[in-house]
Amino acid sequence: MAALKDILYRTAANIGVDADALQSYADALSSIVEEAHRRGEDVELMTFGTLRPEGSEPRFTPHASLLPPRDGDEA
Amino acid sequence: MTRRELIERMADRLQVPEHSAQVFLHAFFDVSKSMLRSGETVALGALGTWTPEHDPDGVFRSVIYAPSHAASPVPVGEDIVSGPASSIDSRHFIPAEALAIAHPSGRSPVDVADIVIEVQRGFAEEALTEETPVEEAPTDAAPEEESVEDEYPGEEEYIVEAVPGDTDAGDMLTDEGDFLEEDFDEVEAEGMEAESMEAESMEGHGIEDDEVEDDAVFHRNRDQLYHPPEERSNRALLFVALGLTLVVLIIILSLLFGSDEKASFGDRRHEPNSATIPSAGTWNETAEPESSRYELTANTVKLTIQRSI
Repeated sequence: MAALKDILYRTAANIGVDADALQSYADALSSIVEEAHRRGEDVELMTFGTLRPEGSEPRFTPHASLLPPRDGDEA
Repeated sequence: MTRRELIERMADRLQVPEHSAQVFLHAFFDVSKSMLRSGETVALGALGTWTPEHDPDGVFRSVIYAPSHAASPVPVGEDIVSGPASSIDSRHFIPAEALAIAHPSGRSPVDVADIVIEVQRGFAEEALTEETPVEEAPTDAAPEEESVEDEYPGEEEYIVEAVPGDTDAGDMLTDEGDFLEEDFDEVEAEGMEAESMEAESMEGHGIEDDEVEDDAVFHRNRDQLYHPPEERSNRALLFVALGLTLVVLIIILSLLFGSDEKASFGDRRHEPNSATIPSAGTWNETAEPESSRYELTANTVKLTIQRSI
């Protein structure tokens, strides 16, 4: 399982900064998503997917680039 | 909330440029995607947990999402230490603050004594904070942090006994307070510089604008990702090079054996006096030497052929 810390370390390595500097970004992202969920608002997580509130729990719709192409997809 | 609004809100909340927030979000979710594709479950704290689903052939097909407050879809035993970060931290954990203070630049050699001092100071601060109960955050990272703290070695294990006569250890322990105060000032100044450098480096990394990502580009990139084009063969280029080499060889051979004019140069080299320009009145006198010149030319060609063979 890749925890948030692992993702932050890899992200920091990719963009060339210290992982500790990205912790505030991750915290801000979490709080923004939680606030949007409380307001019943969709959140588009870049090219990862979209979190849509359905009832008390959000539902995740993956972005098309997350999943591999299926047979019959447009080339 | 679109991705543009997410970037704006994040930049507004952190008081950073929008470009920095955009770089972080793109990189963060790109890493998450690559981890999912590699088959790892991704737990993003309060955002939730994503678990990849694979076909019987092992092909990644879909994702199961579990919100942060719901039970994790992957059963994890209490004794199981999962994930690289949790397993490493629980066994060899050194607080990041201690490393940052004792090793601020990241390039100079690390003094272990400095780290020990910082760890001792961290334990002293933790002993003060343990008196006030702290609420547990309902995230996935909370159990890992508890297990990490449980495996901390006791403070007594880090106490260095000063050997009589060993003045360095004694000075280090007695002057610890002064040493820490001086060190804090240096670290604060260096930390400010490091933060400004990090902000500059984040701004330097450019990424494409979101508007460029239309459907056609997306499908093309996705197909290239999963079906990379085959590399071109260099065989045709090799044949062309061989053909050109043959042509050059033929030209050289034809220059050596196919022309009499080259032999006449050798003739002139052997008999430089015969190169006088005949005048209009003396052309009959030069007719006879020309026949001998042709014989010399033939001899030179034969000699050249023999040498080349």
